[in-house]
Amino acid sequence: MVATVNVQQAVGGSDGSPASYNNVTASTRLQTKDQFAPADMSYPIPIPTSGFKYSYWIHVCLDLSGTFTKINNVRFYSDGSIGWNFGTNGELRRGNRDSGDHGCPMPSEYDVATGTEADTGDAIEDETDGHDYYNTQTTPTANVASDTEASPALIDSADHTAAEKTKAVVLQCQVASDAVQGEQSDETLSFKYDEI
Amino acid sequence: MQYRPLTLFWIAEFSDGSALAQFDPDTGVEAQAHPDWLPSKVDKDGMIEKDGKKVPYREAYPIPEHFRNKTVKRLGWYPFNFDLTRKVFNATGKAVLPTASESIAINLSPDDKPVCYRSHEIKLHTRSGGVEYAETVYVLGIKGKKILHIDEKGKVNKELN
Repeated sequence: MVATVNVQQAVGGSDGSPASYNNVTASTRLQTKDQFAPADMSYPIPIPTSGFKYSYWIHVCLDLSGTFTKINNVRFYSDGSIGWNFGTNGELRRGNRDSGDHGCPMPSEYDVATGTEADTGDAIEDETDGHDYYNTQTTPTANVASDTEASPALIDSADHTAAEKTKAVVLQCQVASDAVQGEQSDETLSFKYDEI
Repeated sequence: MQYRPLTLFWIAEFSDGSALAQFDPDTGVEAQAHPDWLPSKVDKDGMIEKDGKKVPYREAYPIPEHFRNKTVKRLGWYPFNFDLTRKVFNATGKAVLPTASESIAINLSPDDKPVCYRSHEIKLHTRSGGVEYAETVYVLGIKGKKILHIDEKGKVNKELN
């Protein structure tokens, strides 16, 4: 039968142990605090005077349940253009691995989001405070705008045959000094997976 | 609902004249699909990663009893009628949709490796909120030969060779 699949955001807790997995049913915001589906805009990403500011990274995975024979080949992509004003060299990025799939195994490699609240998150690639599953990679991040339906990012290549989480895509905004402030437009990010 | 209701289900016809439907036409009870119909990523040693462990492929996926010593000669996707829709809901608690979709099937030679699975899409809307269970693509074909991508109405919208 068709599996029941929820998109979930993992939040809080400690490395390897999120405090909670939350079904995404409302807006998903990338901001300067590790929290799920905030109704307000209290933690925007400030525009830096130089260099970059970052959102806290977020882990988004699929939660599989119900009856199914096999699920695999979890992919992630955008429409090829993120219409947010990030400024020069700003982007919506995801954690990237040099080989294999790009998803973060959950919960074993979950790395709780860190930074300075209301100021900036730590960059995924930061050698000290970055995401440990990605920050030693040669190319630790990739621009989500480059992940398209025709060329999606492979997030989880493994087979799933029982109720569990898939690997997670780890997302973060990078904002430059010439970004334009304000709430950004709606963007659609897609997951695809195969099932029998 | 945290899933997209099915509009098509598979039927396998065997060389001995028998057939197996995904959902029993009398009871709506579901039969397990052949796990080989959705290809797995197998390494050079014939191992796959399944549920977090590396295991030999056939150990991970024994051939279901109803496929043992059988040869599939024809395989296809077919639409639900109202009667089967009701039976499936009663048997599984899950909704499927009766449609006027077309059916589509392929003939198989004994050495052909059939491909038959669904590709599901979930769209995450960042600001307007929530998720959308987008249209399902029904995939059908023969490994190394032709692969069809079929929409929910039974129309082929992509053909890969």
